[in-house]
Amino acid sequence: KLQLYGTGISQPTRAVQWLCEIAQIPYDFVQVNVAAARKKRADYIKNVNPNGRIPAIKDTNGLVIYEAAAILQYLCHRYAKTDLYPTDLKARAKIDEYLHWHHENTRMVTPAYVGMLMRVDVPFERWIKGTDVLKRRKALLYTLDIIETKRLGKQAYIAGDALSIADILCYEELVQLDVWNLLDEGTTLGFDGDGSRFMKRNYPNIYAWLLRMRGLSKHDEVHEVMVREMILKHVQYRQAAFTKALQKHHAKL
Amino acid sequence: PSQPTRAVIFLCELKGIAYELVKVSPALPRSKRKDYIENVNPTGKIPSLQDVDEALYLYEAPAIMTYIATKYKLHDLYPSADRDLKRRALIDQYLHWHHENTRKVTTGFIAPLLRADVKLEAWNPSSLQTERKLATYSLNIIEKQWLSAHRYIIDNDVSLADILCYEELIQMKRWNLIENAAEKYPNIFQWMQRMEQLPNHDKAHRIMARLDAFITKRMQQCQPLLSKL
Repeated sequence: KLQLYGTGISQPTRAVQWLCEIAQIPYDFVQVNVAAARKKRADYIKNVNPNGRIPAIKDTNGLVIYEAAAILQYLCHRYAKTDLYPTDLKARAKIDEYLHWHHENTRMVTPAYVGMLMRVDVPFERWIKGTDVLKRRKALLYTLDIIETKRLGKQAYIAGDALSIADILCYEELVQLDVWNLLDEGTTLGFDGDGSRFMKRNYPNIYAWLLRMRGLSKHDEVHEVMVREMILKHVQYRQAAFTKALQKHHAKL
Repeated sequence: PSQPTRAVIFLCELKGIAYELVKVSPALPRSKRKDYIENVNPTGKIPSLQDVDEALYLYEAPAIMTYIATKYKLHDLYPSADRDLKRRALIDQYLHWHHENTRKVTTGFIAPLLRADVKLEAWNPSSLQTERKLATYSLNIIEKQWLSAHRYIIDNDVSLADILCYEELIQMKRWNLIENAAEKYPNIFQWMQRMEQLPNHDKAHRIMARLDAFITKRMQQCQPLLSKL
């Protein structure tokens, strides 16, 4: 069976896992904790991905691929998923365009908001300074505008009129804004909580698309990890603590 | 000066694909690029491609490159999935890895120099340090894992991965951005020599000569910032 290396909180890992579920590709999920020191991941680094990053897959033919977008492309070829990654030149180009655009745009959600929620091993001050959090948050608003008006304002899915791997990759970043209410304040987290309400009010096209995506096969199973009570409490606690740290940082300047 | 733009130009020159270059400057305020932002690329970034025959606008250099390679059947640089799925997957892997890795060479070392429109004080030394650390991490992988094992990025033959990667790393050599780079990265420097032998390399890179004086001057101007790093 295909081996998928990663962890449920990792957005790109979920993208690959969800594709496997939707396309009914049999796989084994192998937990790799990237927050652990490199020494603890020595096995993974030696035998699977020398970069140490997740996700990665090891196919039944022994081939190792990392970079979620490249894995999605590869699996669609391997398992003939031409519905999710068509061979038509233009349609494919538009999907590839989104897959590449994602890295420096939609992916911003994670270093702008999620990194400091999940990486308890890194002090807040380092996040604020080292990743220019405020700049990224500002940039994210442009990105959301583009997705709202230029993409989902004109078509039903991210890269065209049909569902593709672009949607799966994109969803894993944007769902965080929804269930964890990252852009706003509010204490009811989870699906259909304050975050969903915020998205519906401010980004109606994205919200409608989020609902469409929720309807896909195995959605709840793949995303269950995000709404476990322990995780929601953790997110809430860290959000409040980070907001305080940001205020302190501003006061110092 | 845009590295991703040069990658597309290099690909076209290498394979003799006719193109017309339309100048767009991302340094201009958004109001002056309204037409481009409205009709071509909503992010306002470059490069973008307009394929008039196909009524297609496309942005993101790697996506433009794979589109060109597919349209013009450049199987040596980017095989179709039926011909060589494994090689194609490894090229796609690199093209994606590039964004958050090799590209840090530009964001960490070149960006403050090139953007004369952004005040020096606006550059956050802490985030520049982070970018530089990531750039070094990437260079080490390219040097020690890939180019130590084969002649080009993916294997022993040139691919789209090399063309995209080259435009980032050539800056290191041409403008001496990193001290003792040649000693630190001998495999990379040998690979760059191989890339220089490719057809139309010099023609495709003539544009860089225009920046030489400007970069040298900027490196001097930016010394106070750079010395803090």
